[in-house]
Amino acid sequence: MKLLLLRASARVLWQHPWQLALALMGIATGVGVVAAVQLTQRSAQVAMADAQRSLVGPATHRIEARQGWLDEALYVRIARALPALSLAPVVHGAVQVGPAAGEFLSLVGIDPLALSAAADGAEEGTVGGQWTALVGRSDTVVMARRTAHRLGLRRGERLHIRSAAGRRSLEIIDLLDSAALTDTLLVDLASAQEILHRPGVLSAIEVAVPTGAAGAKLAAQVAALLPANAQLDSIAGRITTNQELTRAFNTNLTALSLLALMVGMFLIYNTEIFLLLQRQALFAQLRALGVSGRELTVLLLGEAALLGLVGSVLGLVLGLGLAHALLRLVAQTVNDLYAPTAISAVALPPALLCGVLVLGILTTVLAAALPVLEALRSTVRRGLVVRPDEPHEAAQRHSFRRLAYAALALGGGFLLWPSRSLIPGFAALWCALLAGALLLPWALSTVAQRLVRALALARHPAAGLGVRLVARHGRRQGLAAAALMAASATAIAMTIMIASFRISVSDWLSQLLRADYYVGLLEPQADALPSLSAVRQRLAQLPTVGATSAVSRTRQRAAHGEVQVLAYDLPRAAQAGFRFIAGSAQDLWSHWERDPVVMISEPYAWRHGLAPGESVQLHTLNGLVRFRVAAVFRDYASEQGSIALSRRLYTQHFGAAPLDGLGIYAAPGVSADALGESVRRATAGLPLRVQRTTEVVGQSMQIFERTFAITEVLRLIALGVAIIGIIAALLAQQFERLREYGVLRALGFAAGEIARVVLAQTLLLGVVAATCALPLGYGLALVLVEVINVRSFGWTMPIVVPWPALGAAWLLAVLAALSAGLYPAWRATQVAPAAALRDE
Amino acid sequence: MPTVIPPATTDATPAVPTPLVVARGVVMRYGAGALTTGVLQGLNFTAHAGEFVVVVGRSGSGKSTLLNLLGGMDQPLAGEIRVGLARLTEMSEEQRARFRRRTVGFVFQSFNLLPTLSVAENLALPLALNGRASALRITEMLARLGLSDRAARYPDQLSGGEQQRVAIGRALIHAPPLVLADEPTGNLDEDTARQVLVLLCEMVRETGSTLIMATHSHEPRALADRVLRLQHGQLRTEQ
Ligand SMILES: Nc1ncnc2c1ncn2[C@@H]1O[C@H](COP(=O)(O)OP(=O)(O)OP(=O)(O)O)[C@@H](O)[C@H]1O
Ligand SMILES: [Mg+2]
Repeated sequence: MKLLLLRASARVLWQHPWQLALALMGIATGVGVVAAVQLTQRSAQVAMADAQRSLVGPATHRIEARQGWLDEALYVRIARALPALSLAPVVHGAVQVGPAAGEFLSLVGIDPLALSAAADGAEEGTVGGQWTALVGRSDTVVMARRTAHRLGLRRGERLHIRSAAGRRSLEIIDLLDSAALTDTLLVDLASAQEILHRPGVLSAIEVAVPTGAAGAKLAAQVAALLPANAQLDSIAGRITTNQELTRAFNTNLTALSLLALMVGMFLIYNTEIFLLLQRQALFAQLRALGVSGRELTVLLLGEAALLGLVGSVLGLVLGLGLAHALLRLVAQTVNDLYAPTAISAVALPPALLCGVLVLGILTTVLAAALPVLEALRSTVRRGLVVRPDEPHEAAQRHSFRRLAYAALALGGGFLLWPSRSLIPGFAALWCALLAGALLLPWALSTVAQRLVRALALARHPAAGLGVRLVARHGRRQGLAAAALMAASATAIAMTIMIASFRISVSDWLSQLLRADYYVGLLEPQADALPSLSAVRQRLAQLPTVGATSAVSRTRQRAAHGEVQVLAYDLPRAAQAGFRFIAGSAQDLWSHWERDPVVMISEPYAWRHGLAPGESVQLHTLNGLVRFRVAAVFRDYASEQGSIALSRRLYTQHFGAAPLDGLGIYAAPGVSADALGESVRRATAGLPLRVQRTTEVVGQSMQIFERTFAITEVLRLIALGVAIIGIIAALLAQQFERLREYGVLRALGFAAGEIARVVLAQTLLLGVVAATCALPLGYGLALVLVEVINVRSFGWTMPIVVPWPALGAAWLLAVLAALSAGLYPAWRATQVAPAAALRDE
Repeated sequence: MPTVIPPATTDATPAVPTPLVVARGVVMRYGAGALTTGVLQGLNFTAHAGEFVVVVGRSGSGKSTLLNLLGGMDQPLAGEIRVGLARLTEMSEEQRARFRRRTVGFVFQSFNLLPTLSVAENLALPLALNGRASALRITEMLARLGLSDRAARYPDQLSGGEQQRVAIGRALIHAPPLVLADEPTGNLDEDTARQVLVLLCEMVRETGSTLIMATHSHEPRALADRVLRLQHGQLRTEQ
């Protein structure tokens, strides 16, 4: 008998396929977004690590020049001195394929023989040893099948490239399936040197040393052989640096995906209430038959866990699909921001999958727990006749409010927690959103009750009825509205955050970039020492040029590790472009050229807890030297932060550095166009990028927009989940109140009026949710900007409220609610009055 | 528009006894195939303006089905139904909805008040639908129903008898020519049932509406002008 009733209970689920499907969809979308973001991030990391590892397989270290390039002779020297060591020389560069405006691919020159030796015993998935075909053949290339396919090329055909050395065509002699090498062209070392116009130099030498003490000794031997200009780095260490970079970039995505999960949670909660209400009589009977409250609880939570499992599995499938789409956006960002890395395969770590599954199930059980416990309590209290009625809803609203205050207090606690970790920041974000969502049903019913007085039924029967439905039985709509508000507030927070960020970055750029033109090298790794300095000298002599600035970007060792050091040669006009967050500009500039003072960027100050007056220590040619920090400057260029000093000071301590960029200022009375014309003429034929300042700003802003494109996608998904939630809530309401719709039909409500009853509810719901989302979104943006981004990037920025965008977000939420009402409204008009009113 | 009907008179007996409701050869069946139940099989029926007709019959004989058809809530498979000048069998669902709001008042066994609306609001709804909102009319009706002190209450705060009185008020407040009552006293105890029945009959007399009532109980038969029995899908005069 018990079993029979249990089966009856399960049958109720099947009788409401819509609700069941919607609940599963809620779980699936929430889990899917989380899974997609996690998978995307992992894939990006794995691809980065792969890209570094795959050339030599088990390479552990890399020798690179501190600036510019390595001499080829170094390779020969090390190979002779340590014949047992696996070494692989590499030349990197970028070449353009196709027309003048065609895309850039990275060109990697390798020594196939050295590689196949190094690849002995290489792990699966590395590509060493597959390209002996390249040996001694110039003008041949090996590339990824995927890239060739995209370019419409097949094995045996020729690939046309443009580079510093001019045009060339290469025969494709092999295609590889390695994902890590997507968009990479592999050529013989000598060919690469020729193509890139870099005779006799290398970008890096990959080294594989065994683990353990022997390896450490070997590494030390290698280091001893290096000239001052070269350094040996552990690749393992490099990967973590990269992961650190990616982690910071991922912060916003993780925040977003967790918020999407919360929207899904509301959907589950709502469905659970519906399914429980449908079965309350049944539960009462089960209790009467002697099933204990605990048995029933276990049964129902077990059922929720099962739902969670099915939904999460669906979510993983969805997440995989989504990850593929997102990966393209992320790959672009990673390329823009960090390194030309090819990311293509979605990596599927089992631990991650399990984690996401568990998260999905836990979330579902958690969302179901409250209504389950409540339903069982009321079943016991009221015996066999149970009906969800007024005091019940009021009590629930009350407990919601208490929970909301608790969440607010908890969130405040997380914010005050003296920590630099992101986790309390995320927790605070979540608490704030939860509190807002829990308060919304109360806000909605309060507004509805006010409106009841304003909308006299005698004048507006349809709209009045809709408002009264929300005022008296608004629990379901309250929760759906909460989901909509959560989605909208998240979108608003992101909008404010991005707008603040965008304005700060573009202000900063246009402040900083004081010159009229900027000149840089086409290839970032170029050996620039003679060329840009020479270019600068030549340009300085032009009558149109008033002044020039120059920068070298170098990496140096500080007491705590590597740091980016910028050596600036700044005319007065350029100095005015810097904006200081702390310290005094006058102090800085008055000592700039003469004394050991530096300015540090904001992230650097944040990461190392430095303030003006304190000092940084750098390893220089003269040993460990202390530099006084005179000021902290605003800088969004690097998350890790940088130290800037005058070029004179730099040369004194680190020797000459090649220039990485020039700023050109027009002479008095010379127009920017005239200046550009003369600069272009003077630099014609050189591999230089000559750009007007507005172009530089425009390009940077383009990269900025691409970085945040992915958040756009996720925002829309969260909104989609909320729409599903509203549809589910309205359909559930109709099912429970079918008889009332029948009565309305009997009273003579026309189809249009019935539809208006439903749409009035969604309009009210949408307006309240959209309006409440504005202040909540602002609060979330504050947490994002003032806490999360500071902790993640070390960047501060003034909050900017983009009113038109917020207006659009408001409208979007209202339209979303209205559109969610369309199908339920149509369904309501289809209610057959006679059938709806039949007495059972 | 075929929804034009003769104006309701306040006179208890109309001058010319034209039939208000005419049903001819009405056939109604539910389900399909082997499960088909033929409920009405070529039923004929007429009721005059101001008349009180009681329909009796065993449970499942089709009384509710008949009332639904007469009220335009459903369409028969065959036959013709006319109320006033409105030919229901030729009207769309939308047209019948507009017909119902003006012409018909329903009283159900299970009251069917709208739980979201207060007593006064339940009464206001038919007036609002007909564009004749009137606070005075509602106050009068509340007084007439003896529920003046219950105006602001919600249906779940009322007793069964009170709820059915509100339902009667809602069915008659816009003085519809036709009132259809499906076992209006079925859910009430004997005393309350009698009071409710008396109220309904009095109020129908006042508006001059035609009342067609399906019932199992004996009480209404004594008050009715005619009693018909529904059996084997046909109506037959009782006694
Ligand atoms: N929507 C429907 N679908 C299927 N069968 C129906 C439907 N409505 C009514 N019936 C069937 O039609 C027959 C007549 O039903 P109806 O409700 O009209 O009877 P009734 O005379 O009002 O009975 P009672 O006195 O119990 O109210 C019954 O056998 C019933 O099962
Ligand atoms: Mg019946």
